[in-house]
Amino acid sequence: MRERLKKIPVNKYIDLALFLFLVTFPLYQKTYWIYVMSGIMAYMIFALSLDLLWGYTGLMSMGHSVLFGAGGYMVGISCAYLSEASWIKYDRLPWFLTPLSSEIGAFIMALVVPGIIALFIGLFMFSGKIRGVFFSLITLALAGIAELFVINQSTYTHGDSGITITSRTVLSNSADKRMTDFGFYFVVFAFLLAAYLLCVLLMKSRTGKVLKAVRENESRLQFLGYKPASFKLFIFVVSGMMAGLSGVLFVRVQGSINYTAIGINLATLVLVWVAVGGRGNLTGAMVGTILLQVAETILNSTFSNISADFAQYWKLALGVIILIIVFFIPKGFVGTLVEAEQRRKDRNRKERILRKGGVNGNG
Amino acid sequence: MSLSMLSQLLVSGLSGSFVLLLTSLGLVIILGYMKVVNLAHTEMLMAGAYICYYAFQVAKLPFVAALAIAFAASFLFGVVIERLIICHFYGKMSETLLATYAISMLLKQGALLLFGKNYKKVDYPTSEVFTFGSVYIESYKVVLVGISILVLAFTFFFIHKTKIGRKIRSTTQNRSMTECLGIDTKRVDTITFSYGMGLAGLAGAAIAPISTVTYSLGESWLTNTFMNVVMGGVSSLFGTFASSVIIQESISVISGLSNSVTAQIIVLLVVIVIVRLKPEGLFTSKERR
Repeated sequence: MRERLKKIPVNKYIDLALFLFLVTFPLYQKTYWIYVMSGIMAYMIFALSLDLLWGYTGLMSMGHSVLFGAGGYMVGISCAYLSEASWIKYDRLPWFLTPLSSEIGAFIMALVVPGIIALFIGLFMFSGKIRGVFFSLITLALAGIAELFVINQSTYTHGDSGITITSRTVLSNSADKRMTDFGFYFVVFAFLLAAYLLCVLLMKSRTGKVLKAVRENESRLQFLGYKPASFKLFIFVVSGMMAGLSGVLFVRVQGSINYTAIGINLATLVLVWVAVGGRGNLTGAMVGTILLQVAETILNSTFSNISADFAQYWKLALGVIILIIVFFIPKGFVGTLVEAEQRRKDRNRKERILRKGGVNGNG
Repeated sequence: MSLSMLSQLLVSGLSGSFVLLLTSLGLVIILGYMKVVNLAHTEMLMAGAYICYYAFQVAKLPFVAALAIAFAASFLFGVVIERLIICHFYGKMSETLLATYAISMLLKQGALLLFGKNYKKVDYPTSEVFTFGSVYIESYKVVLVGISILVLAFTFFFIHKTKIGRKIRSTTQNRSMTECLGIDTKRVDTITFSYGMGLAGLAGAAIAPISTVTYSLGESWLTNTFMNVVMGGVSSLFGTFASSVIIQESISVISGLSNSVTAQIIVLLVVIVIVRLKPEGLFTSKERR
């Protein structure tokens, strides 16, 4: 038993601790923090979805927020339409948005639309011999345009001001089905746990191994008879749908959505979370998100009465944080830990083998 | 749409293409010769525009001097950044992207804290308006076309005819061989990167009069310049020129029909499709593989 426990990598213990922390968190915290943490957990799903793509498969999407925002806006538009918000000037939704006229339809659309966007980009980007960096640039351009697009399409998205919806409901729209902050926290938590388990299972499966091989050496994988393009497409769509889900949850927590949820800012912020935590192990994405977001919230509440421009200083600080991370711990916090443990294990194994005098010593 | 309106759109689109060429040239050079994606590029445009505002509008220096100062300042900034940060990350794509994004964030937030949120306006250095029948064009846009052609010609001359340009090209083709010949490739890297940054600053100063100078100026150029690089590819400057014309003319004409955001979306979709068909860029130079 002890041997088996020792074999589990350190990041799984961190995961366990993290989930235990999250599940007990609302028991002793004020409502405000429960609300903040629910939002952060939605962001954690988002970070996990990027980690699948960037950390495991090596595709650095610089516009992942487009998929997040697409999911969020689907729910937003649907809620605005169903509750007949005062700014709505149209009578009925266009044909491609008709599923949004039902609550379950909106939820499904929020998963399907990001999937379709990912599918379209992926179909063109992955099947040629396009270098990886172009994928980043195209997604970056997409994020830039998406932000302008939602401001521009103000008939449906209410432009700059964004959409306000009933918060803290999963599927419904009516105010009397609202949950308490406490209750909704556990809904988001359940989604986070499910998303995490999905990621773990996916990465344990053979598909996950092929995806890691795409990151490590794509041409060798091709020589072995695999088609990297279809695997990349698959993971991009899965990751897109997951990002859409996180968008839905975030909107439901926040009770509003506007153009910042779809633009370059969020797209790069999520890259920073994953980079700080460490990519390529799911723990890093979650830890990075929680660290930076909690830090921002605490600093924000401390400094907001001193300086009104706190957000600007925070962005300045983020810039410095990124530089420090890429210079000193390019693998991120969790990545460095995992690596150190791996090195220690390797050393122990080597010593054991040497002690027994020979490679056959059954190390 | 009437013919006169179409020709008006085409003419402004053409002048816009040269502006886009000017603003993306630095990016293309850094990406093409160093394989580094410089996300700080558009923020250098912003910095250049601020330099132009203070040199030309506030200090009343001649416009050419403002351009020169912008180029020199950005070049020096490029040297510092390359030596301090970029040179550690060659060949690591994710790290480069993160590091250059961090620089762009620092530049942007720094500008916001230093100069505030207010818009600054730079006067046109030349104020006449040319009219040809129903088509009119501001003379400054003609000047911009001139600047852009000059910069393109100089860059071409610099890369292909000078000694340092030859070193830059040989470093790109075969670094270790170049080092064996006794050329300090690290210095070459610094010069290439700084030249690209310098061009960004110059372009920023040049476009300052036609845009509102504010801390978020860089953001508005981000999409178009990066689309341009993706479509034009990095292997030939002519490809960049061609894709600038295609992108800006289509945006200009489609904007006339609907609006500029729809235009950008359509162009982005087209770019995605074109990149699939010609992944190496529009005009690929014949390379041995």
